[in-house]
Amino acid sequence: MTPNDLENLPWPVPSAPPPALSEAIRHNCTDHLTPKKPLDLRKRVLLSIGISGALFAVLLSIGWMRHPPEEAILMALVGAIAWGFIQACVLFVSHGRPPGLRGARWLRWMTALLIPAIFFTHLHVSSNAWLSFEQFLSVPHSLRSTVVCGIHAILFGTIASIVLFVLWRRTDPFSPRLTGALTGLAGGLVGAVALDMTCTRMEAWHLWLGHGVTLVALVAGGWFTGRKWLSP
Amino acid sequence: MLSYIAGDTSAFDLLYRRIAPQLNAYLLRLTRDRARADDLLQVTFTKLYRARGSYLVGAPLMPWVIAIARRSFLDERRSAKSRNEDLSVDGNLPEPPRVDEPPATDTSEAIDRALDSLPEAYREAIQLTKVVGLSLVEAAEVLETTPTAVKLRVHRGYTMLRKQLLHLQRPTV
Repeated sequence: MTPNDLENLPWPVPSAPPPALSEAIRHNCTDHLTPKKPLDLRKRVLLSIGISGALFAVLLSIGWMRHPPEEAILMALVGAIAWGFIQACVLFVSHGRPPGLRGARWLRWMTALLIPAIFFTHLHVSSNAWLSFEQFLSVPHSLRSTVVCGIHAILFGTIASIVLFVLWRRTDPFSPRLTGALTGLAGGLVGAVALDMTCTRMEAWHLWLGHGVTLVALVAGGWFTGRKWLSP
Repeated sequence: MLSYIAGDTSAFDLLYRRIAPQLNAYLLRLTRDRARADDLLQVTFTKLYRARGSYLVGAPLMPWVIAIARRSFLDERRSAKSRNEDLSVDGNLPEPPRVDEPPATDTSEAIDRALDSLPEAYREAIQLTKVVGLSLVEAAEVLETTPTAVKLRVHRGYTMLRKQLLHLQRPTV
């Protein structure tokens, strides 16, 4: 007997569930059945990008009201557009196709891991002071301002992530954790980038701990909550 | 599915006739327990009912439902484990009772028994691709792995199944 013979074997034919069970299920699933009008995929993606953009604009304007940008506003806007484009790409890669047809899992994994790494690189490049950790702690108020920035970034990112989670709730039974991590990433980018555009401190440790770590935290948070929120 | 989402009750009957037998067979193979499989079938359809407004048009329906069923099974197994329901006094999983089954009377029954004797990963891969009828890509999505891994599991399962079937056939020759 070869594997080819096995292909042609009479595999067990699935039988229908017991009638009593079928009747109970039918009652559960058809009593009080109300019509639903689900949003299609394209609308959900566009809505996700639109809401993220609107939240980002609100956060940016609030931040700039508190600390008006003195210079390099054009650079900041270019940066915001670039990160907005990256966020849209994350949403297209992770949510742009129906679940089950989302393609290579490794690509989504790479997105979830590489984008935070690129963001950290961006923070490192844009910082203008590189102190040792001891020196950083010895600067007055540095730890306090880092914690405040971190709380703001987490708060803004969490708000954006919750909106995205609600929008994509119960849509992915296949890989809810991975999709959750990418949703957290998309939401986290809104908070972290908005804060990055408005914060005036440019010290490397401050940027990594106050702005960057929040992104990693939200990716991890999305991974853990994805199963509960995104699985039907 | 779209008619069901729109509130058509008769569409549910058609949907049920199409997916329930495969789902039932899949859950029965996973649990190897009729009562648990029935419970999980009910849970799966309840989740399908609740999530009908979130179904994204274009998502392959059968793998979508099978993925819900599999996740329900894993959740149920995890919660049973945390309650130590299935554990014996020494904290280990008890061995299933050995039943001296009469020899299989036809090939289909022999395959059924041979499938049951396979390790879970191989059994599930063969069940999904051969009995439920999913493609390798669809089965890979459900099992959260790659199509190559599913192909490998099916192949290894086949090798073990062949040995099992030869072993089962021998007494009847």
